[in-house]
Amino acid sequence: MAGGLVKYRKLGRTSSHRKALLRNLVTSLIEHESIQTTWHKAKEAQRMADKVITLGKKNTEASKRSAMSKLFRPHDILPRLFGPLAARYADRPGGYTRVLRIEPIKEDQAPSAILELVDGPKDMRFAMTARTIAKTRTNEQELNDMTRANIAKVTRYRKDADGELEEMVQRFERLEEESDEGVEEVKKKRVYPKLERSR
Amino acid sequence: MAACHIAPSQSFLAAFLPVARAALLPQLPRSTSRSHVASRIASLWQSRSSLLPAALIPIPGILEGLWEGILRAVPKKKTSHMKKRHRFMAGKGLKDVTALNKCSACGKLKRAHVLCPYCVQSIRKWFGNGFKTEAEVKAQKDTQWDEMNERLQKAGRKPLLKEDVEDLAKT
Repeated sequence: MAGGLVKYRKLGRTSSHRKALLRNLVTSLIEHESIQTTWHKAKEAQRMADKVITLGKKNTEASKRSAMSKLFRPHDILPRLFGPLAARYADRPGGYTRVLRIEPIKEDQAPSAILELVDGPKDMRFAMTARTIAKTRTNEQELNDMTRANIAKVTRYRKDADGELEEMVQRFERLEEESDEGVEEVKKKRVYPKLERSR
Repeated sequence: MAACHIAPSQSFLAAFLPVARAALLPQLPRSTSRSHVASRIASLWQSRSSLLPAALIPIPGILEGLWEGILRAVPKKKTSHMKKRHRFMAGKGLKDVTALNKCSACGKLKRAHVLCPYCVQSIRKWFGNGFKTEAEVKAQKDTQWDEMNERLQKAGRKPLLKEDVEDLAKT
């Protein structure tokens, strides 16, 4: 059909390869709470991850079987999915994952993204908001509208949100005191072989 | 250079320039049974005892259509500097990135709608090592080295020096 939208991305792979890729991405996400990949893969994996977490929240025998068919290493991953993650997202109506754009991680400059579980221990937006608050406090400035909106977002469904945010802000303030800037140079991962030059 | 307007001989035209031949000698009847190229190739093949080197005579029957294509599609003139530059400069150059703003967490310049790479890498590092400063991490590593060397000395073996292992890691 000319000019119609696709229902899902093909990602340049055959059906079986694509299925395996998405399963691997979602399994890694549940295991590590935050993964870095290309933006397009992250958007596709986000759909599957949200659906798998919905199965975890349902917590029936049928949903367990369904989740087992959609993930790899079920013995390691299913306890996490039906335990801590189901409890974490009990009150949240959908939107359990977040895709944040980042600079390309590899030297092929592919548009990259972080796919993360919201309200988790590796929540990047939570950490960035905390670091922003720490910086505004050290500079004795007022909080921005955008920062206020971000604070509302990250504290909405999180348990003990204010306490955790304050704790993280203090961690960043301590790092700032020790004048620890973090990384000075951002290196991209190698993709192409390093060739000898004749000159 | 003054062009000498002597029409080329019929045999030359028959061999190489069927279009020019038709233009200069329009009254000649065309052979309907065989195409231009086929008859030309046949005449070339027959005249191979003449001055033409063997490489220029195509083998009949193989290259008919191809020969016509090769003969026709050729640049007439070297593209001028102006045309060449028009082709290169027709909006195909790299565009400047203007969608930039300041990172709210570290103050550095970053692309709009994209997380600051320095912040992301630092935060991921701190997620990994529990928000330790570099001094703390170094101190922890030093104590680990000392403990390991103590264990080695107690076992009666030579202590490892950090410099030796670092050199190995670099090569």
